[in-house]
Amino acid sequence: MTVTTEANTPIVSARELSKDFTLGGSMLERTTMRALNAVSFDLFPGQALAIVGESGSGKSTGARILSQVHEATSGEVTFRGQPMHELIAQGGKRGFASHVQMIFQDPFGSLNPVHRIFYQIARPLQLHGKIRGKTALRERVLELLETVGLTPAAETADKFPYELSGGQRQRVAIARALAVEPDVILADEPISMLDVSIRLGILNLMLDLKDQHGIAFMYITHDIATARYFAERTAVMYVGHMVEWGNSDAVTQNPQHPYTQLLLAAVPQPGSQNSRDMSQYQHKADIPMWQPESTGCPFAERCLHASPQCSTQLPKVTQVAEDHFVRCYLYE
Amino acid sequence: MALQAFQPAPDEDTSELLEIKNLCVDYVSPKGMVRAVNNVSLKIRPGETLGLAGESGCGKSTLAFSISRLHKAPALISEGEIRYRGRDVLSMNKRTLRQFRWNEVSVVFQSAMNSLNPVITVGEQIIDVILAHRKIKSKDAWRQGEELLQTVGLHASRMDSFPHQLSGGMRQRVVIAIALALRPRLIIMDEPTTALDVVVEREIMDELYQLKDKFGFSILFISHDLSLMGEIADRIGIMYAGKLVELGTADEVFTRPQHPYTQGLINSFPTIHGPRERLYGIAGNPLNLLEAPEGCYFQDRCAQCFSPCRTHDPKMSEVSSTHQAACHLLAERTSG
Repeated sequence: MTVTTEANTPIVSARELSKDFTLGGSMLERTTMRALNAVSFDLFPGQALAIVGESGSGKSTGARILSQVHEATSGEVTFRGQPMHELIAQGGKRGFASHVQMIFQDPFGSLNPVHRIFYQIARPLQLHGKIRGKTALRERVLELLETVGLTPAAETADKFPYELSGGQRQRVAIARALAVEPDVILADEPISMLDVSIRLGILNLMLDLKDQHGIAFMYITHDIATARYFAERTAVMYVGHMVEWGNSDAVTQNPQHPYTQLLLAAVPQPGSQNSRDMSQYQHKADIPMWQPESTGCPFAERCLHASPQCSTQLPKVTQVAEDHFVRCYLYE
Repeated sequence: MALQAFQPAPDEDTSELLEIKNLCVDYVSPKGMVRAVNNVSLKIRPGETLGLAGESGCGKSTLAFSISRLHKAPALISEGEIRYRGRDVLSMNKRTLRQFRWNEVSVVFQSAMNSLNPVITVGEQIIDVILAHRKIKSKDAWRQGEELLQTVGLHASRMDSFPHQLSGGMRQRVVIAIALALRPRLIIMDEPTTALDVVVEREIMDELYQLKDKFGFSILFISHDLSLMGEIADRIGIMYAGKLVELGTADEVFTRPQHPYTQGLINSFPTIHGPRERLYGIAGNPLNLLEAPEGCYFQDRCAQCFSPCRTHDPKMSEVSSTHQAACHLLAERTSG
């Protein structure tokens, strides 16, 4: 063990999280899908963990458990060493929410269209009892708007969401998340619906918040290039499993898991001429639906290196470098 | 065989497949006219991929729609010319337009995955296109449909599937198959892979390029994803607020971008292997066309803005024989 200081003590630890969803209407057609299977991760203050994966890989499910949208089927989440369910039992759902806030993908759907920007940010301040008095409230709202770069703040506060562009709305959503002074922000594809020219501005704003306010970020994305840009650590998910994780540079520059290698090979890179034959990286096979009774590695069918054990038992976690882990038999 | 083969104008030079000259498309809105495509000129050559990039609202999709005259009110082509193999597209009557569309130019729309009819099978939707344009038996059309599915990497039995039984990537392949059905010379693709995962996107782009080698069609590829475009396009056009601000070969645009907007756009994409450093993209917010300023439309977001930018609209000027940009800095550089 290394020396324990503020910065390397995780603020949130998830251990062996699994989440099952029931699909289908009638009793006979009902099946269970495992959206998340034995996933463990840590969030550190002032650092970001990027969760990268394709749609349906379960990358949002973990964040939804942390934000109390879903309850984990099994596994445990601790916040500053205390189990999440205990904290909720003591301080209520809202109490826990004051530590963990979320930023959503769609800034057009996440703000209430009938209220001014002032209201959207004042509301969490009032609900969480962060501030007393009208003047103090207004001052705090304007301060928050300035923090996220929405100046002149007084003018912005009096606008309605429809008067703002997508990027500005996302900044309002970030200000609203900041209002309760959270320790953790879960950002679920925060830039994927924004114009390309303003995405970087939002990423840079989140970088500043991470550095200056020491907030722990979970950054959920399908874009592994922005994951490397924003996050110190990156986890790659495939069909509900974390297949590879660790230092972002290690994962992107030296990918070990065959799926990470496939994912990186598919990322467009200007200059390299088209047609990188994907059959060098995978067999053609459908993406499986994971069920509680499924066995083995979820990538086995598509994997070029698959051996018989890959379809019978899930590989254990192997450490390949100081901060670089992989679940694959090639490295056991 | 075609009912009537589409004839190019006899005396015209057909070395350009499509030529757009000074095209302006306006939207009539209660708050005033908005010029969504502003004086755009470009050419597409046979067998070429021309990429058109820009952020949402820059007019790239409106341009694509107007090429096949699929734009609908309140959009209105107010000025300019579109010539396809020498023929004037804007003066075509309904019948000629019907032959022109899909036979010559087909379109793969944005969110194409959702452009399939959910209540009829994939096969019916494919043969519908073939039967509308070709005088053949439906049995033969069905056989052609099966071949088409195979060319895009799907099993022929998928003819009997309904769209909801297919994944997003498979639906996208069906839409491409329909676009290929009549062997058009130009396929307009409006954000064809935006909704897809990166691995599926790569597979589809690879297949598309194999098909392009086989059939020799041209592609007008519209996307906001500059990295993808840098990989697949021969030439790239950059649009901002309805105007074409830069046009050149993919290499020129990426390695020697001239317009500050292009430079900012390229810098807005973190790379996967480059140095890990803070990037500064483009300041400010996209322009509201109802409040279009005098002079260059990019002036408020441009770090290099100087006095002529506030008063004069920059014209396209040549950087090389294949590379043009519309920026006052270019004239400044050559004169100074």
